[in-house]
Amino acid sequence: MQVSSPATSRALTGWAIVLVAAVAGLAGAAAAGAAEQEAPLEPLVANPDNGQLLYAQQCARCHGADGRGGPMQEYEGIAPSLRPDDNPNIEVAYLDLVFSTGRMPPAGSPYDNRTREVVLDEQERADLVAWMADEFDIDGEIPEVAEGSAARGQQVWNANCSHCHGATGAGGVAGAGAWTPSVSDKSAQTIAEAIRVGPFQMPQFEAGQISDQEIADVVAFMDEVQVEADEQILGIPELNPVFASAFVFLLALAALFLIGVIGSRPRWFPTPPEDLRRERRADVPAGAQRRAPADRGES
Amino acid sequence: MTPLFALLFDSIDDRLRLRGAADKAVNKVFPHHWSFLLGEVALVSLGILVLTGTYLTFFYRGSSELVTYNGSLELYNGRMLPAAYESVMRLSYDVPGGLLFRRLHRGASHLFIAATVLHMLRILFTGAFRTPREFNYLIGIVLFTLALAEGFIGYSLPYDSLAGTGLRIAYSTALAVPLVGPQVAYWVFGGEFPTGDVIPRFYVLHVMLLPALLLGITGVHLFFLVRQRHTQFPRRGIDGHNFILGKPLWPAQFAETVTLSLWMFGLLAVAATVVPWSDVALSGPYVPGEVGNNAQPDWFMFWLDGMLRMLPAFEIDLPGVTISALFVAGLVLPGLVFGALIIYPWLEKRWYRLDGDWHVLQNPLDIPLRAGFGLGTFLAVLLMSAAATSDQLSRITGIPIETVLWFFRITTLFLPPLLGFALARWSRRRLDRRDLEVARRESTESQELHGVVAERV
Ligand code: HEC
Ligand code: HEC
Repeated sequence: MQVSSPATSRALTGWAIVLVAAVAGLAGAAAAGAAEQEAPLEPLVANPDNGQLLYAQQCARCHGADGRGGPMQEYEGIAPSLRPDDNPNIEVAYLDLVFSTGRMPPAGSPYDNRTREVVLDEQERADLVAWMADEFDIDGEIPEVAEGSAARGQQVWNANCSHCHGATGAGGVAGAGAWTPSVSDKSAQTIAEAIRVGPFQMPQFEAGQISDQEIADVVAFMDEVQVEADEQILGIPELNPVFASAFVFLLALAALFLIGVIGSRPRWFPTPPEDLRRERRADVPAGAQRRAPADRGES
Repeated sequence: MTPLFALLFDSIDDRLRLRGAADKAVNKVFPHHWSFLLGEVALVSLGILVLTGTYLTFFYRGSSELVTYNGSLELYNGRMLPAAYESVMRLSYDVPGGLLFRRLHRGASHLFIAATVLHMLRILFTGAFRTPREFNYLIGIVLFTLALAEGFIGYSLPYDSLAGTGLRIAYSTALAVPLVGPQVAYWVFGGEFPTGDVIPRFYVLHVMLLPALLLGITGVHLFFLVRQRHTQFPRRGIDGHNFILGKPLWPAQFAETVTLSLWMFGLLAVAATVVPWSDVALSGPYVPGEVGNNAQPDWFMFWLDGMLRMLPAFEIDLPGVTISALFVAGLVLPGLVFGALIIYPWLEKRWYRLDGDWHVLQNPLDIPLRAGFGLGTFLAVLLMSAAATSDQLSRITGIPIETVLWFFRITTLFLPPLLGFALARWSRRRLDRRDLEVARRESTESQELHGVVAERV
């Protein structure tokens, strides 16, 4: 008996490749996990000079070199000022928020908040914020988030946020041209910043409306949503009825396919058509065609 | 058969005299076509609904009183929840297989209603509703209405935030009925919404009255079907009016039905594993006044929700009555569509001055009225349904939601009649062309005949 035919050895090689790839993949994933955990430990030292450069590259063409905004070249409309003396909304948390969510610099139209691309990494964000804060006199700090309770967070969320962002923070529509982004996949810091800042069409929530503890609770609830989403096979925690209807459509298609297959006779019922039974409907005179009078009787 | 069984069957038959009837039933003829299985899909789904639903009733509590949840779901542990919602949480997180059964039930309900709709369309477009089957057609419409009601009420029972919102809209719709509205709303809901009465009442409707009606009337539907025989598609060389051609109940049809059922179980089990149809833990219990902007009804109610979104919020004050948008979208519109469904068989009969019985199915394009009116109405309902998804469409396409709604307002108003007239015209032309061809063939045939004759002479 020949132990290793060409086919067997090919198969063995194939399995060896699969095995090596799997081990490499696991090792890579483990390394990536380790790297992810290590990253925040490095302290960030902001470099305002780099910030100045970044501002000139990324922001000046719309918000102006002096940060006072004005008409844009590529888009219709006026870019707002980024100086607190004529735009009181501007604070450090706002800057960090728009960078970390990829809202600014915009990936497409600055008025379309759906397309996001985060172009600045953590170091660049710190540089840019440091330079702008100094140059434009921007105050404020990036909020810290404590531990919270998801149960209370759900109540805060349903009372304040779900009518714009949806019950599970999946996003939706909050008015004409104001699409709400998904929140459940955002970091604690981002959520806290958004609540306090109220970016763009979103209202701002003061400490009197939502306390720091409640912010922590909302963050905990959003984490819970994310955990639930990761546990689902499709990665969707709860379906809204519109997405559910898409799945109903798929289910109906599958059922149609099923009856199509089962209903195409030769494959499942190999009896030839001659074997089909005939049954006389009724004693109608031969030759009587479609318009025959009543023939409701039994045969 | 082993002698023992033969003996058993013989002795049973001696007493009950079933053999004759059973032989007849076993040889019952079933015409064969894939679209005839749509009704079967609905029937099997109904069976699955009854079975899974029974399991759910063991644990569900039909009440909105506040009780404390003590279970394994961290989010609600120790919290006061409406009893209905609390029991749904227990079902989903603490009862073995509970979530699976809930999802199976939900998936089967979607499939049930979808199959019912498709079955109805098949009946409509192939003309299976014609004499002598009008009465069974009406029974079918009753079943469809019951299915929609079951679906809506089932959606409400978990009493999560979406369910409560749906109930509130139903309450407002009842209120919006001119003259009797407040009385009707009070009578159904037992007071001003949210009341403690509505969940217990709907629960009883959902698990007793409506299923009993559904099953009973389905029985009548099937009895009529058997009694009147199935319709069939035309076949060359077979006088479909006098004969029906198909496979016998035993074994071919039986095997087919069993195969279909087993595949459906599998399909639903996969769907229930993958798709979180009925997970409501994160949306939270219904709290009056708190509504997520993802509030939509289930898909089979989309057309009403879409209409409500498209209509401007108007109110016309007539002496003594107020007509509101809610009333129009929630009651006048379904009234019109169901009215059209109900009168259609008689409309067609009048229109083409038909009489007699019809057992052979048709291509809808052979009947211009049916092609135009039927598909036009169907398109209108589809567009209205699509309008209910305007928010998600807006988000996906980047078109502002108001523009999306205007798009649907205009298309819903103009496209269906356009399509209807175009189809009716086109199918009329098609028939004319065919008649012409037949006439031409006949005349050439007779000419050839003449030619031959002439030569001979
Ligand atoms: C393509 C032009 C464009 C670029 C590039 C751009 N922005 Fe903007 N930015 C805008 C416009 C337009 C708005 C107003 C958007 C709106 O109101 O919907 C805006 C708004 C903002 C706001 C919010 C202002 C407010 O009053 O709410 C901040 C903060 C901001 N930009 C910061 C930046 C920074 C920092 C950069 C550089 C990293 C940048 N932007 C790059 C066009 C631009
Ligand atoms: C009136 C509607 C509205 C309400 C209420 C609201 N938001 Fe927002 N939110 C928005 C809109 C619109 C945006 C997008 C702003 C933009 O980038 O144009 C947004 C953005 C955000 C973002 C940033 C996400 C990103 O990717 O840019 C977060 C986080 C957020 N909201 C959290 C919350 C939380 C938490 C609450 C409740 C306390 C809340 N929002 C309440 C409308 C709302």
